[in-house]
Amino acid sequence: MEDLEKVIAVAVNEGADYCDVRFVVNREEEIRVRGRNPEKVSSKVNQGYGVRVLLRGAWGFAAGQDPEQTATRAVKVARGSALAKKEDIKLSDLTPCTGSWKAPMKKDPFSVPMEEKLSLLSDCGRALLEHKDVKVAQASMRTRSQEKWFSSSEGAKIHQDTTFCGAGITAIVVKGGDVQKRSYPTSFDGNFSQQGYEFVEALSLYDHCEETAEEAIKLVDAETCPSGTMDIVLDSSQLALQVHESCGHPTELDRVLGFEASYAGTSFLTQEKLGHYRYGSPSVTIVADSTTPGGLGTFGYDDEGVKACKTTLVDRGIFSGYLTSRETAHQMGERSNGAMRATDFNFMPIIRMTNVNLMPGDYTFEELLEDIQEGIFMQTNKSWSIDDRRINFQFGCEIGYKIKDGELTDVIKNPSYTALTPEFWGACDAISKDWHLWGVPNCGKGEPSQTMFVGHGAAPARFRNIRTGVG
Amino acid sequence: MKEEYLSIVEKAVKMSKADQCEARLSGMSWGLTRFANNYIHQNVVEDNAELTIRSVFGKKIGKAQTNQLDPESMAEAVRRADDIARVQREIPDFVSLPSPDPVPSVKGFFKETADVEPDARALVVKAAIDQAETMGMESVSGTHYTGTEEIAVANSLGIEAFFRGTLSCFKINTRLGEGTGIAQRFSRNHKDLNSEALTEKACHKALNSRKTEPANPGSYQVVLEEQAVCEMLMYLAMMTFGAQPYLEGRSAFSDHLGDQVADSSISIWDDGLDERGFPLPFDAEGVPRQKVDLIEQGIARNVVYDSYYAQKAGTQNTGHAIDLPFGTGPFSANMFMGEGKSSLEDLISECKRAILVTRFHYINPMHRLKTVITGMTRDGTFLIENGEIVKGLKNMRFTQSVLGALSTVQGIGDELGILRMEYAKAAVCAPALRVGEFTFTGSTLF
Repeated sequence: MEDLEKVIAVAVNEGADYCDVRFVVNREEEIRVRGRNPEKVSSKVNQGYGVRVLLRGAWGFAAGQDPEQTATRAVKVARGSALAKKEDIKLSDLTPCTGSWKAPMKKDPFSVPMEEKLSLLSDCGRALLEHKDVKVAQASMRTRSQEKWFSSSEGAKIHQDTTFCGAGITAIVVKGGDVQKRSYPTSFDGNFSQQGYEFVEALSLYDHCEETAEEAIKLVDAETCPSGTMDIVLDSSQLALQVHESCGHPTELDRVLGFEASYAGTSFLTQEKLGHYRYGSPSVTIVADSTTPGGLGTFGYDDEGVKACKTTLVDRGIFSGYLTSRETAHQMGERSNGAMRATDFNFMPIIRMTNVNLMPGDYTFEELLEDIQEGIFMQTNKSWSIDDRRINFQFGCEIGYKIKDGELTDVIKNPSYTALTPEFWGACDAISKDWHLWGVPNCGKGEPSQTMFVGHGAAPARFRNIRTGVG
Repeated sequence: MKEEYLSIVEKAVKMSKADQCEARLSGMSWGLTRFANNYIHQNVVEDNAELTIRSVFGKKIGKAQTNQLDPESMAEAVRRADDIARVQREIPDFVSLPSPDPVPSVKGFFKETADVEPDARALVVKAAIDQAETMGMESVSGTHYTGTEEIAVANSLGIEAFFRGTLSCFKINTRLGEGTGIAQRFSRNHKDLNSEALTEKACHKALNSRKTEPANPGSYQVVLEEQAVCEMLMYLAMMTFGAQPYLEGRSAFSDHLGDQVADSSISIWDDGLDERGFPLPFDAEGVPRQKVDLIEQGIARNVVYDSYYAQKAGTQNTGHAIDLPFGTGPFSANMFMGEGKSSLEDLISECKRAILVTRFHYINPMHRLKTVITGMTRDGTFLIENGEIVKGLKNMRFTQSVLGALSTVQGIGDELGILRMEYAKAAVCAPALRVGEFTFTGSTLF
């Protein structure tokens, strides 16, 4: 922490009105098996300083290996920013925190021998390929730890140590001019959690190979998703991404205020709607919670030193809150709710999702289905797209099942649905109590592009009269 | 710089006890100035270099990375790669790291671009904001970056390659009422950017689309501007042009090389030496990039290879290895689509009823084998009637096969636009197109 105090002293001496500095040490391990063979086994360590200064009301940020030189560069950058400022940037009040936080973990994933992990994934690859129609088998595991020291010129001194890990398998069938895939526990490398290796063990990857491969094979000969308007039920992993795209991103206050206008876009959840706009049905409550145990968006403090907390974004269908930073909260006359995060030392923090969770209802899964005469149950995301204000979206899933008279019947392939966000959530009339937490380690935002790790809790839910079978 | 970089990778290779070893040092020193709401709201500079070691024992491979370049940290990274390789399982298809071939030289470094300071970037941004405000824009946002990238690769078989290039971008997005407009340019030479002309173009887009009306979904003739075509091609490359999906039967080219897959006016190739793009003469393994015809006069010709997939397929390595944190296989990172003879105005003037698309947003594949993608239009969507732009349209969702669209091309623009993905170090250059049939499946509220 002495280095960090020197950085702050240099920045302040050179004219900074505010300075914060992070020293970050990362360790990452990635194992990928393709077919029966290892595709990639890698280990990465990196570290560095990220220094942010506010000078004459303008931001400067620099990242590098030499702490004092990095501070000097950040000041120089801020002087440049000041050449094109309109008004002074101001930060909401914050009582500086001193503390430390460490994610709880039973079994350090880095301590598990590489041979053991590789053996598990290779066994999965072999098991998937035992099904002759499976052309490509993938199994992967990823572990990342990040130790971070934060100090600010206001007096904050924080140390945090986080580790997440996760794994997944995918079977791809190529047959008769079609390609179908099935993943477990979800697509895009599986599920992730801020836990130790016990989380990977509990996934029981090998035990799910048979079912995963068989479902992929069934898909090739399945009927294509019908085009029409009907009731749909989505599984919790698909809903995790639905919440991510249609609630998480549009409630980021930097998007709302136009800071992302030239890249990811803005938001339909404009400020005059706060507190009264009907976002969804009364069944829908969505909460941003950076204290959710095991969540990829769980921490002690955000990268401005704001303590982790819980914020309701949608309260029984009414749009009721934003994800904020100190700068954006000040523009709202509020205090930050702690959503400023940087992927690594070399990125300036921006507003990111923490764990944005759809709260559970009180239905069983069977009760969700029971009064649907004709509908579709869709599982596991395959494709996603949404407009730059987060209104029109289209999602594709890996597998669907017809619902007929309250029962799941035939498998259907290429299930997809499209809608406008408020209409879609307005059509949600039932949510299951089977709540599950999903880790999404690939959320992209910002320039330079930052890939963030976020969490989403969700339970299967029912939506009435949704357009399906697009494309 | 060259000596320093090569010295590091050569030292790392020598430290390894493996049968074969490869070291790659990728550095970047750049500054990115971001503006929104007519002021600079983010302004960052970064210096970083990452050393990647690949160790090979027989057919076992391990990989390690570090951004600490002192001798102890380098030795530790080499040890990690060696240790991983030792406990690995064999990759039966692996034969060897690549052997050296002469690397051609290419001009990709411009000293004045490397020397741009934060003040200079801020002044360019300020001038653009002032210009856009003078043209009546309510809100101006965008990005301006400049910097250098360095890459050195050495391996124990004698590969020794170094490249230093500069990079730059100016992108501006403007808003007036409901209308938004965009213009952007990427180049290794920041003097090519012409922020003034880009600002004017973005402002005109916003002016012309400040009032929009909805259009019904359906199949339309479209004019796709250069940026829209570049975005579409980037996804086509991801789904189709790499050896991995090709060999696994997941590419539209699988079993279809030699077939007509697009209109005969369409040719697409990859060329790491073409200085109109983002030239880089060798790939992540230090292998010289070959020019590869991907689609020639509408016929599927080739896919791109790295050393592993070339050995697996028993064919020539085309020098297209990339190193991303997920397994994608080789990638066509310097793509070109051949330009035609029509100006954008010509393409528009020959339409009876069509939609003009400035760019797409949030594209994602729906069906890779059929090259079906979905996404939205953004920052300027217009209705063309009888050869004239008659009004702005609310943004629309499309769900369309890329090769299907390229099969109905009716006209090709005479200028190449360029799109660079900094993250993947990939660029594509393409002209505007007039496409006969393009399917819109929905629309949004703005």
